[in-house]
Amino acid sequence: MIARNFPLLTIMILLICSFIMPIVKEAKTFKKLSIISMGASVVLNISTLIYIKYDGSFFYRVGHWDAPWGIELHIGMIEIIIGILFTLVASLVIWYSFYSVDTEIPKEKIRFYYLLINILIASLLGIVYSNDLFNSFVFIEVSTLASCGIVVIKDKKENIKATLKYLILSILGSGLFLMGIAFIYSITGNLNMTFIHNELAEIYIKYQNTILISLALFTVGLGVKSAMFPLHIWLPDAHSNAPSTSSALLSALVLKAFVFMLIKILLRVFSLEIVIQYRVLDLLLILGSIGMIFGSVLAIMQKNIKRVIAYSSVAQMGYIFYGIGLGNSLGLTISIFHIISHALTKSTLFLAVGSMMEQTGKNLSDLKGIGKEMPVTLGIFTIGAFSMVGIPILPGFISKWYFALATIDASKLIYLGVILLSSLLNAVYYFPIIINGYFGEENLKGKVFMSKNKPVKELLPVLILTVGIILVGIFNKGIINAINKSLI
Amino acid sequence: MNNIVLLVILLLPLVASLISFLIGRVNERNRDIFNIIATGAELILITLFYKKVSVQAVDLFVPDIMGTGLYLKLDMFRYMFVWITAFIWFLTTIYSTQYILKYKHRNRYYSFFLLTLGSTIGIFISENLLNLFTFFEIMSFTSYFLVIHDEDKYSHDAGKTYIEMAIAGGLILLMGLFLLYDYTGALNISEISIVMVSLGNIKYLISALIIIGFGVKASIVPLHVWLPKAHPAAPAPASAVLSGILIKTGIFGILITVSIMMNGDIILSSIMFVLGFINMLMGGFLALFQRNIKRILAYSSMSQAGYILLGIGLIGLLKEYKEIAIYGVMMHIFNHAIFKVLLFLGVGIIYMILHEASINVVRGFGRHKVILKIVFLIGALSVMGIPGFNGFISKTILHEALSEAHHIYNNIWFTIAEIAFTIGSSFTVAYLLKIFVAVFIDDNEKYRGQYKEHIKLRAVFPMVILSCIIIYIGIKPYTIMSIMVKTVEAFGIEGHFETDFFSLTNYKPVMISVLLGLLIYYTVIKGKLLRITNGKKEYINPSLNWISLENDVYIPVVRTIFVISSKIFHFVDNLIINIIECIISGIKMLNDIEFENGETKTIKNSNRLNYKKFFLYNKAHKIKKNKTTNVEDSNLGNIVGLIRRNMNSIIYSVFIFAMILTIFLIVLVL
Repeated sequence: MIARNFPLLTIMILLICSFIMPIVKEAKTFKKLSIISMGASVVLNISTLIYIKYDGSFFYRVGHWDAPWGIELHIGMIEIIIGILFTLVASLVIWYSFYSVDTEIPKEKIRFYYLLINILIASLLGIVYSNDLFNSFVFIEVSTLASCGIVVIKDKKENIKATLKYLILSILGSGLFLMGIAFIYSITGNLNMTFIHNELAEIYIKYQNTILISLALFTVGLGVKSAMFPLHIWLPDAHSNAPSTSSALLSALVLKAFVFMLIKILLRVFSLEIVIQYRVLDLLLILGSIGMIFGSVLAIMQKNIKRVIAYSSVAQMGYIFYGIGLGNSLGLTISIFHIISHALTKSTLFLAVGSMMEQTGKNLSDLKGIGKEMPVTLGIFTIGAFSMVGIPILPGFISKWYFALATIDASKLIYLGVILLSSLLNAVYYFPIIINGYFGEENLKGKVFMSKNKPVKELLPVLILTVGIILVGIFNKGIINAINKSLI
Repeated sequence: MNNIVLLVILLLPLVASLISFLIGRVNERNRDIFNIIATGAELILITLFYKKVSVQAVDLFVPDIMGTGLYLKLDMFRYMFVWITAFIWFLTTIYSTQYILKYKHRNRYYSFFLLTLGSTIGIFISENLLNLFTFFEIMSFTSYFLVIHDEDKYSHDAGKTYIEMAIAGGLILLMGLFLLYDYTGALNISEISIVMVSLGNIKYLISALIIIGFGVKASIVPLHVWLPKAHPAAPAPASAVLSGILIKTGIFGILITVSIMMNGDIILSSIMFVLGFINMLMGGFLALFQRNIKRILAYSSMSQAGYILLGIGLIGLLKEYKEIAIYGVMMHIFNHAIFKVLLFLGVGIIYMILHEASINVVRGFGRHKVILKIVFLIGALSVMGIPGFNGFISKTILHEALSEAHHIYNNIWFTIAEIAFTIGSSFTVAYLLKIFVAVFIDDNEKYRGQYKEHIKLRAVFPMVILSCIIIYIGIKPYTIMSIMVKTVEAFGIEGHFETDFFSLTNYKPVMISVLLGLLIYYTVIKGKLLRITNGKKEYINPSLNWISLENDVYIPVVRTIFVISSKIFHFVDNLIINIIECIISGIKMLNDIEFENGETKTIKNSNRLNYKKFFLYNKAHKIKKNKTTNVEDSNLGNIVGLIRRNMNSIIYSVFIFAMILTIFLIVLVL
């Protein structure tokens, strides 16, 4: 029974630790505080997972207030898997950051950096767990500000510019989300998702237009935050200018939390039966497909390695929207699975690239011959890239495979071409990096083997992530089944 | 069939105007013949139409044009206006062929002359007020070209006054029509009268606006400013129709507003009654002082319009006995058109020969021109209201209506009104005597019967016709009055009126006014206005130094209003522009905000200054911000790069955001 309190506890631990950080003097102490709180969250989440595995999903009443008045958390299999994913990735990224943070972030800001990460993860968990629309909105706002904070922390001119753009667009998105809540609230009189859902089932015929408008507001509002294709404009700047640990968090977790929120709204607030009557899903499908292709095309055009990966995120988010847009349960399941696989992969890639960039430069041409100098790091990058392109066993392949199956299920065969084309395009920009890194006599000339390689303890977190990628690839069946079961 | 004829009546002059223009470019003689035929055909058509109209009113509705559809109606009330219009136009066209020969732009003159005819007929036969307004405006513009025909300084000045007042009046009229439509929802004259009754006090505002709009054309006193300027400026046939017919369009509008739409509302009628007296006295009084014959006649028109307005007032005041006033009004409209046109044409002959209309110059010109003398005398006597001429008939009816009102209300005001009526008539006698004595009786050695060859038959013919009509009506008034019986029906009552015109009771007021007029002539005109210097007689015009309504009131007031409002609007404009520029520059600042590289995260100092400057007044910065992006020497790649850079900026990202939201909503709604 005590495991029921763990989800709230994780959020509280993270928040409380973040509030303690400013009063801690020693730099080492707050770093420890950060990793310990995050690690504790991972442990708590895993124990909740075990609890759920045996006792099933549950609603947690915050402060023992019943639903319409009090805030509820809904903890199911999917939520807890994503919770573990978030905390795990965050702890590994924090671990990694201990070795890189000094070079990337001004010294006096480091304290705030860890504070912000804690707040960010706490609010993201809040978004994932909460069963209350307005509560989610509050967490969304907190996470927006926190994620802007971890971008701007570098304190460079281009960071500030990128952050301003990110901030303005995010706030517009939050505004739309709030308006969507207002519309829904005006017709149902509830903020609790379960209650709204029950109310809507009765009245949705009367309020077709209101539902339609609020659907559009939710979709666009969350779309801009989770980089739905034409709204991705803030993403390349923000992700490429941020410190690489921040990029890893942003790309792997922040985007995913919002897209998961969208799934929750479509599924749990409106229910698939209602949503399917409008053309929201078609729009998501089309924008997702466009994003899959144009994200890659734009990535090909980039010269900065981090921008390449950032645009790759746009393409990968396209997959997730595409999966939602298919409108069948397999599509949704695989979208959530892709959230997991992409979170692991993208954080790996960003961290690997981050450590490569530390030694060389930020342009693609600087990375030539890096395979000789940093073979392990590039090896990690290669595994991540292979997953992105869709090489079997790796989770990227699994998601693409199931996306294809879901497409066939939804009898939208034309879109299979989009998946294939997108995979091909992924290969076009990932493989040259690897090939130029490992091979080519000109590239390798004058490079000393293992000269820039990092010590093992610094590589360990990234290695763990890589292992995680492979494990997710291998145990995909179990994860997908668990998600699918929880969805229904 | 009947309504086709109605449409033909309207369109014939308009089409003829175009054809006349085309013919005139090839052969002027053929054009003159064509014009006479066209106006003659119009007259014949309308005359033949009498039988149909006298039986039943003809109407025609053409939907989907002119906004609300074209609704024409011709009943006996309108028929009289239409007929007199066509008749006068026919005669003046004949006259014009002689008169206009020495002028330039003859082709233009005829085109606009016919266009004015078409639009004037359009005014009279419109049942829909919006149609009426449209034709009214067309008429204002086409007649403008008649006023400025000479294209010298004076006529342009007069034309300016004319068109400004016509436009201002038209706009006020339109405002009235808007309000009318807003409150009643009807635009057809006969329907409005039913709805108007139930309307509150707003109907007075509406009718006041409409009356002011029409009043400009009808030269009601404070709005008469254009009239004494435009009439002398226009060529004689044009001033003849301006005075004879175009004033009547305004009167027609007022008549339908006061007597039909408002059902002769007592307040409005009283106002019209008073305005009529003011017009009558003011016009007559000012006419005494003028030296330009055409201007005397112009003021005379104003004075005669006063008679008609007074009659319109009486229609409302007399209530159930109103038929006598209606007869008076209609008769005077008809008669005034005839005799005033005759006088203008007569003066036109003098002007045609001498190019001068000042009474001091043309003095004694007509002493030896017998025909001219006779027709002018007939016209003058008719205006004076001497028995045996048509002016006497209508003035007698009006006077009798006034007596009846006096009898009904029996208060001091009507006694004053009767005295004023007599004084007004005596003014008429005095100023016409001034013209006649000066031009036709005085001896002047310069003019000894030469120039007779200039007076062609086609110029004299219309005048002779008009003179004959004057005398015919003067002797046998009942012929025309029997036609008018049906006219009265338009005002919602039946019945006719009979009086013995040629009785001593009716002669008495005429005799009084003639005697009074002679007195005024000898005391004021001979005594005060005539100066004999070096044996030469010369009239002076002291009224030139008096306050001028246009120069001393209207222009300063309008100018002040203009200056004040332009200041206000300028302020508002600047405010809006500044606000928008502030917003734009704010967004721009946000977009390409510059930050220092380094530890501090403050905005650069200079930039902060600029920031302030932006929000105060940002013209200086605009120039600075004018980025030099040489698009010319950039190839396609650069352009794509430029676009991509632009797409990356914050503004564009917000735009894209908004666009996507819009697309989402549109796609979902569709």
